[in-house]
Amino acid sequence: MKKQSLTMTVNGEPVSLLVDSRHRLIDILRDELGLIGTKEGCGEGECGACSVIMDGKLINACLVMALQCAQKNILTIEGVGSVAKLHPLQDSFMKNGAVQCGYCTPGMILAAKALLDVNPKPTKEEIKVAISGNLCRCTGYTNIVKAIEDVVKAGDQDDEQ
Amino acid sequence: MKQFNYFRPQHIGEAINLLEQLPEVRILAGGTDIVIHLREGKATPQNVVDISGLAELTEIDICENEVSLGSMVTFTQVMEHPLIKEEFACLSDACAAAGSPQIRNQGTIGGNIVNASPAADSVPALVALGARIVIKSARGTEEAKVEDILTGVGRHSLAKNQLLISIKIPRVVDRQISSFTKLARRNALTIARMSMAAVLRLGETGIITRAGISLGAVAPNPFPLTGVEEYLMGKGLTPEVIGTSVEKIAQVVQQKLGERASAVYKNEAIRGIANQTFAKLQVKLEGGRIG
Repeated sequence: MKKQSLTMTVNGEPVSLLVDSRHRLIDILRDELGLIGTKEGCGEGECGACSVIMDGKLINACLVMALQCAQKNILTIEGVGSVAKLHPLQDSFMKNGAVQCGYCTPGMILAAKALLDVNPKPTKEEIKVAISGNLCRCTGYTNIVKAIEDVVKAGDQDDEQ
Repeated sequence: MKQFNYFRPQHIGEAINLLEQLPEVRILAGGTDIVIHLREGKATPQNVVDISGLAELTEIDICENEVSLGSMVTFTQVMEHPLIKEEFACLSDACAAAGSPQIRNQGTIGGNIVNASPAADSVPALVALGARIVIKSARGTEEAKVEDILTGVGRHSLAKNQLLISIKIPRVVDRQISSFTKLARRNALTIARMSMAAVLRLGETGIITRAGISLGAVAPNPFPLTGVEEYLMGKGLTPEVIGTSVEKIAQVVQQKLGERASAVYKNEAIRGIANQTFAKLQVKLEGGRIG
């Protein structure tokens, strides 16, 4: 079958590639672009491990066909912070022990980022709703919520300074 | 996954032409169900028409007499819209109860209807609100009540060349209050075990002038409880009227479920759901609120 061309922006870089119509966004992120920070868990939108931010909205990359992403702006975990300078959420997840096996972490960080981008001072309840589509089977969520709360608090301190 | 041809029309006319011409065609919108079905081999179309590029279908239009939701409007768009929150609380609450943040960002209101799940989160609210759908094909535009196109679990009566364009919800000048309750195993990422939407339009003296009561996950599709709606007409929302309505609703559930394994649980649970739904209406009524 003839492949179709797809142009989109991934982590700020324009990307053009030929795509099999059967491939989902998660397939091309991992297999074509080598962005393996995005994990596939359940493959049916229940676990959130494959969460990415598309045009400012958190989505499951396993539920969107690659060709649907034409002209879209995608942010994966590789586009959040860098090894030299971690994003405050990444730093806080480490400090709070919010990472155990790590499989849910990229999705969790992006879910938290999608929230803080539109609501920099969420309540604890709003944080819980924001990560309600992301399953973690290790931590019990307490430290994840705390890690996000710490970033919110640090933001408050920045405001006061 | 089986090979298929992929089409991404840029306007409605092009989409309708494709649906008219292509054999074995499926529409791809938000993808939250069909992408899974394609992958599992439950859907094996030769052709897929992706309507997610149709910007015209992603808009919420507020007119004087109605609100029009494009069929590609997401759950998130509905639940975050201030006027929908204010005037159609049952719909806003139902959309907020769907899936997860990700699913609400991807799943569409049109998809929720034509996917025709018994437990479709937005459909009981749409039915209770008297919503109508607008369908287009090469032969023209038609309208139908939401419940009239649903014909069973996963089934609807739209032809393959018909495209669901929008959902129209009547706005009312007089007082209307509504509420929604979803019973499920947990809050997020869960399919409704049962759900109920109630919409009451009230005259100046607090007398009910229109009632919309509908249930989800009780029958193959959400449906209006016309007997209960008729009973409520011309009455006030008193504890006695609520009590009788709850019993009537429980009777309908019992009839619909028959000897199904879930009946023992659902026959009892519906009383709690119905009481909660009416209690929320009473709070609004006493607070002098609308929506």
